[in-house]
Amino acid sequence: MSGGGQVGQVGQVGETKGLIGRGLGFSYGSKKVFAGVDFAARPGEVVCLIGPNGEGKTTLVRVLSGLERAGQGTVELDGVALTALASRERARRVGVLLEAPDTTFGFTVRELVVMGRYPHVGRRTFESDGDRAATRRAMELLDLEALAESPVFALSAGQRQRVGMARLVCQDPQVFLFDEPTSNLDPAHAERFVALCKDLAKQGKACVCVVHDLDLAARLGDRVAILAGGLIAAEGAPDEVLTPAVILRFWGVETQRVDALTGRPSLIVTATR
Amino acid sequence: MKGSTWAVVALALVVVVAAAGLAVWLGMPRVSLSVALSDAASWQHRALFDLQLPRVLQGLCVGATLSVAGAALQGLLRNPLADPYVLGVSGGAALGASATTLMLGGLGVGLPLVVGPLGGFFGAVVALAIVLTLGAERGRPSPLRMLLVGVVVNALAGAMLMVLSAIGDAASVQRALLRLMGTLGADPSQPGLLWVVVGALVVALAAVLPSVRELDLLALGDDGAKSVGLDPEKLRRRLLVWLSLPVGAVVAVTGMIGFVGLVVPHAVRLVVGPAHRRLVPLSAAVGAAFTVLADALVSALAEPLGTELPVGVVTALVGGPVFLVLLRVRLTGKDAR
Amino acid sequence: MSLLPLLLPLLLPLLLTGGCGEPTPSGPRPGDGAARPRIVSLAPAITAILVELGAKDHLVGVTSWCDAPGVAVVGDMKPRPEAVLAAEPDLVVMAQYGSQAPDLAPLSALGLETLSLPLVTLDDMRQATIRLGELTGTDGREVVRRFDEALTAGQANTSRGVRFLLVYGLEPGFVITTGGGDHISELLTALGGVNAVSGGVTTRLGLERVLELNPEVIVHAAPSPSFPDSKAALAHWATWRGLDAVASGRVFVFPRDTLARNGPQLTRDIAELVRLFAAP
Repeated sequence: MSGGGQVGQVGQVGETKGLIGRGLGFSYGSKKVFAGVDFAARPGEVVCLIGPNGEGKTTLVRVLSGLERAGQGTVELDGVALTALASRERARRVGVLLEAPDTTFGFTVRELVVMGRYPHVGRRTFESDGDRAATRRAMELLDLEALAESPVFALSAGQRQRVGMARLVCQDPQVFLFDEPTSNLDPAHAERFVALCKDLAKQGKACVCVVHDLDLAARLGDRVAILAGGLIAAEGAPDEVLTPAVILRFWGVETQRVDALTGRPSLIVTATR
Repeated sequence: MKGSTWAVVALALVVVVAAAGLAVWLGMPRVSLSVALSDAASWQHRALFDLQLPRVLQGLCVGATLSVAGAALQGLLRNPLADPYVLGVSGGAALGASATTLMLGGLGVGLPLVVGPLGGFFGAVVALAIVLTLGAERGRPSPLRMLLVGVVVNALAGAMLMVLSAIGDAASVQRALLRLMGTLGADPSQPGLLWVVVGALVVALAAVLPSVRELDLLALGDDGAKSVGLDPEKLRRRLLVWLSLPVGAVVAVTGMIGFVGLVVPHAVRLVVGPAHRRLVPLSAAVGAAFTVLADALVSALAEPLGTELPVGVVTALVGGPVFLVLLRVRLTGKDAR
Repeated sequence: MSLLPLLLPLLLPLLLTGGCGEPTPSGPRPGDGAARPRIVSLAPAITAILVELGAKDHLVGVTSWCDAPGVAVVGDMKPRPEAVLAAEPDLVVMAQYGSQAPDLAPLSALGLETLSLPLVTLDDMRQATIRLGELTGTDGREVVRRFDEALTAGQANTSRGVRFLLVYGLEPGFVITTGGGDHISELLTALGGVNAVSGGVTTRLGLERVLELNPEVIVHAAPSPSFPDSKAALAHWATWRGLDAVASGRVFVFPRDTLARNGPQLTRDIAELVRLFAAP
């Protein structure tokens, strides 16, 4: 298990495949959020970004997705700096889900999901048949077909979250970034999401998920990275990273780990300090 | 009734033509249409061509401009209470127009009456600059902050208008008050003002129509929109600037005709949905129709009432209650899970 | 359809009240047989002058403020151009009031002949009377002569130097008066009075200032709902102690509203005004 700011094999020269952040630092004014962060999300893997509340996970995701500029460091996709790409070019390659769609006006689920095609279509043309097919597929994957013509303000929080996911799936970038994707989902839909991520990975995409549920992180991620104290404090396979000792150190809760159930570590919180 | 975009555009054209025809016919009590059309030397002819037709054209353009701006602003700010005046543009325009005519009029010079609209432009731009500057949060425009600053700018401008009224002469006071409520009587001695209003509509449509898809994207939230490759801040800045000019021009020429830009987009959304490629053209048409019919009612009531009501009074009396009804409908829809 | 609540409330009253007018109905209309030039007057003073000149049969349109029974009303002092057009005038006459200045150009642009006459001072009134007399073929000079005769006669019968306050209206805490420059003040001055107030044409005076100025005579220019006669006015002013006018009972409400119009009908008001300034 590596720790103290290094993430896997990022430091190697010539490593270019996937979304790679090197030496990232970010501050709000004088308040430092993180510094010296290396992060990699490679094609075909799911990385779970975890850590205590308020430590900057969402900020890191915003920087990795190109929505914010890091104060220091670079983010590259397949060797090309994200900042060098035009917005729609970047959107074709990296997509992020940070919030559910707005409910002010009654756009239908279908209308919102098809917006994911914007980086591919732009403003000049109406949607093509291919776009409509992609939209249908995305809605199927997220179990939204029955709600396709429902206005967004009539949906529950979980349903809206799935609409956001469907939009991102429809956008079909190379790298998917999800910020707390399952926070409003029931167990059934949460499992579907896990399956979706693994499927995306199998297709050669890279997935980054910020999660709070350590058990979920263990099941979902091929690798997990802990962002705490302004840097990547630990990183590696869930097996290695998510030990009761580590969890106690960063989260202050006592856990029991049961490996036999699923082949992946299952974590059960037994007491808080 | 979410037809295809082209069906909606066709409907929009039908609405405009029908409303215009109705407005011309119904807005000329006492004037015989047959005489006006047959006898070119009659006063009815002059009443139709020099007074009524320009007035209807002005009403159509003003109503369409305000509705297009209102629809776009509601989408840009993601706020159903937004209207074309919300960003301080109306206050700035009204104050600019009144202040310039008062100041320059005080110099005793005979002014070309285009000074008013020019002052209105200037005032609108100044107000917008204030709102954009003060409405920024950490360097980027925040919709909520801009709305709040806009409310304050409008209130301050209104107060300053009152001060000007107190120190100005009776004629200016009356003009200022009319400006606050909006009138559509096209002045036949100033055909240029009509072209200003037509130009305002052209500018508003040219600014908004190419961006209808991008306006939709804002429904994903600012982060969602950025994720799909839109720059929401650039879109807001561009549209706000390019919409302030036509709205400022309209306010400077006809005053603040209220409720059109607020209510019409909501009513249209209930018919064709929130997608801007259908919302904007139909809002333009319905706004034009609403305004021009309200003005026809003003003309029709002029004799029984003995005076011409400002058209803003009619739009408020109809638009206000309709807005309340629409809010109720929307709320019911929202709670129906 | 949600568009209906928006458009129906407009269409229904419109269909009831609107609609293009019928072709010329049979039967006489007001304005038929009027003498040429057909005149629309947009100021009460102008109307008064024309009536005094005996030229009432030239009038085809007046405002709702004018006093010309039997003549069609085209609107208030800012009438709709359509209404003016409908009267088919040869000439539209207005006074040079600031509020009406913007109305001149639109009427001209419609092809109407317009005339704007200053009507602030008594001399303006004399000039206007002569001018309108020329236009209507009546004897304006004679009317002016009668006015001047009455004025001279009146001047012989009044005491000099009586300090007066001319009241146009009362608001809580304020008097609306003039500091000279208007025709009523000029008339009162010509009849021997001295305006206690100096300054612009319309002045709002605080009531404490009135106490300071302490006029000898207080004159209300016309009856009003709150002050229909001199008794009511005196009762009101009596609440202010220390006013000479109250002490001597010289508080008057002019019994007609004819003073407001700067026209030759003032000739008949002069005798009444002289009585106001007569020594108590």
